[in-house]
Amino acid sequence: MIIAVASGKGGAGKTFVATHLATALAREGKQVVYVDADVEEPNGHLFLHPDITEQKSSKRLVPFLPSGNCIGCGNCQTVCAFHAILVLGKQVTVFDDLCHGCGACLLACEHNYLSEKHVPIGDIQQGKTNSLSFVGGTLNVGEPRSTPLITDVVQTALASRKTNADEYVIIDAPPGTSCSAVAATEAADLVILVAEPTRLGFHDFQLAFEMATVIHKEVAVVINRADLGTEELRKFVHEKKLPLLLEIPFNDVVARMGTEGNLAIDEDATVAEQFSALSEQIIHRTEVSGGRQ
Amino acid sequence: MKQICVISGKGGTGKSSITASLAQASIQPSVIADCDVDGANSALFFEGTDIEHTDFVSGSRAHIDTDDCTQCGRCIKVCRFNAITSSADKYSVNSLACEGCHACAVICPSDAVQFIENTVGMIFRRTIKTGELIHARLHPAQDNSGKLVSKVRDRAKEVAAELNIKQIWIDGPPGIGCPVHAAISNVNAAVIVTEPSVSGIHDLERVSALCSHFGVPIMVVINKFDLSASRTAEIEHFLGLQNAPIVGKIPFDKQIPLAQCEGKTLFQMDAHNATIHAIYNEIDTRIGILHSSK
Repeated sequence: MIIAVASGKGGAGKTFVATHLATALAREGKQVVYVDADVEEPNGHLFLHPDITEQKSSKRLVPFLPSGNCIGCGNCQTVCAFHAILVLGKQVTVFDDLCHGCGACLLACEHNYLSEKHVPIGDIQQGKTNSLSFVGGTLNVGEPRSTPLITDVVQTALASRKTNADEYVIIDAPPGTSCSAVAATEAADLVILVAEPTRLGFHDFQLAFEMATVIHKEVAVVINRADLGTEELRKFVHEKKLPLLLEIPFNDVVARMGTEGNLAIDEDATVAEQFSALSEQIIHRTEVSGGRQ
Repeated sequence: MKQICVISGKGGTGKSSITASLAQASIQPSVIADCDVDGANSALFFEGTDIEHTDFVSGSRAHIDTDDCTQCGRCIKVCRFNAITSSADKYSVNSLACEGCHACAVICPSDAVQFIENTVGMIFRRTIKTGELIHARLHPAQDNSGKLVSKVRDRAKEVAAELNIKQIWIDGPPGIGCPVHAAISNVNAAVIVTEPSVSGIHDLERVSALCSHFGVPIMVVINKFDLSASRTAEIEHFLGLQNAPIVGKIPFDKQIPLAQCEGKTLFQMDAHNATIHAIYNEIDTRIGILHSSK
C-alpha cells in the first residue's frame, strides 16, 4: 500500500500526519517505509531522527560538446524547446538550469557530436529508526527543478521494499498542486489530503483535490486544527463523499512538539489514540481492497 | 520602484497574511503580486472583481496523428518522460507527462507528431483598496517552471509603472525551487517569515542560503516567536552570524486563523496592527520603500 500525504497549502500538517501515521503503523507491527519527498524543504528527519546508513547523489543528464568537431549547424539550438542551448559559430553553450534533459538536441545533432554528462541535483538518504525505514531527498540549494529528484527518491523507496506483503510506504509530499506534488503522488494508491478548515486552507484544499482528480487518485481527508475554522471544508468533504479519516483539534502539545522536534505520539495520549485509530482505518482499507500494489 | 518579496521556505508560516498586511500598512498605494501560483491566496484578503483575465500559454504538448503514425515505436523509445503509450491500435500522448521537448517529432519518420499550444494557467488583475492585485492560477498538475511567476511579476511592474505606484509586494511561493528563484530575482529585499520550530529553522537556513546564492538581501520576521524562547534565540543567533536583520516578531495567537476566516489580515486585528506598522517601518528604514531609485 502506497500512501501519499499531500496538501495544497503549506504548513497544513503534512509532515506531522505523515511521520505520525508512519510511526503508528509501525507500532501496529507493520513494515513501514517513510519517504520524505518534500525535497526543497525536507523536515521528516527532524522528527523521526533516523540513522542514515546510505547516502547517494542524485543526478540529471545535460548535454555538452566534448570536442571541437561541431560544424555549427545550430540544429540543437533550434530543436531545444527550453532555450537551453546557444550556438555561436562552432561554440555550443548549454544553460544547465534551463535544460530538461530530454535528449532532443542529441537526436537533432546530425553527426552525433553532442554527448551527455551527469550533474548532481541533490542527495538521497536511506536509513532506519527503531521502528521504520527512512528514505529522503535533499535538493541542492540553487538547483531549479525538484521533480527529477522527487521521482528518484520515490523510485529508490519503492525499490528498497523487501516484499510487497504487509508493507506500507508513506510519502510526505511537497505542498502545492503542480508538477512536484504530482511527481510525489503519482505512484500512490491513496492520497491523504491534510487540510485546515480556515478560509485559505479550504481554498487550497479544493485545488489539491482537483489535482488528485486530474491524475485519477483516490482521495481521503484528514482535517488538522479542526476546531479553528468554519464548516465549509467539512461540507465539501461530505458532498463529495470523501472519506474523512481523522479530525485533529488544535493541541498545545503538538504546537510545542514542533518546536523541539519530537513526535507528539510519544508525549500525548490523545494524539497517540488519534493516530492509532487512523492507522487501524488504513489497515482496514488495505485489507478490504486486497492491498493493491 | 521597490520590489519586496515575502518568502519562507516552509509553507504555512503566514506569508500571505503578512504580505497583505504590509501593503495595508503603507500610506501609499501598492501592487501586490501573488506569486504562489499553485496556491494563490492573496485574493481572499481583498474583495473586488477581476478586471483582467489573461490565458497563460507555456510551451506545447505533443499530439500523435493516428492516420500518419505507423506505430514504429521510435517515439516511445526516445521519450524520457514516458509520455507516449501504445494501445492495441494507436499511440497516444499523456499530456500531463509530456514536457513538449519535441524529441518524438525529431525521431518520427512519418511526421505524425504535431504540437498544440499548452494553456497552463491564467493571470488576473483586480483593483483593491490598497492599490492593485495581480494574481494567477496555475491549472492543477501543471509544470510550475517559474514562468508564470515571472509573468505575474512582469504584469505587476507594468501596472505599477502605468499608475506611478512605487512599491510591489510579492507573495512568494514556498520551497527553494524554480518558482522561488523567479520570485526573488532582482528584488530589493526578501522578507523571510520563519517560526521557532525545528522545521522553521531548518527551512530558514535553506531559503536564506538560496537568497545569498542569488545575492538577494534578506530581512526576517519571526512568527509565533513566543512558542519557544530557546528556538527564537537560536534563530537570532543564526541571523546574527549572517548579519541579517530581524524586522519584527509576531506572537502566537489562536485568534489569527479565526480572524482569517472572516477575511481579516493581521493588520486588521487590533492585537497585531501596531506590530505590522513596526515591521513596515523597519523595512522602510532599510530600503526606503517609497524612495525612487532603480
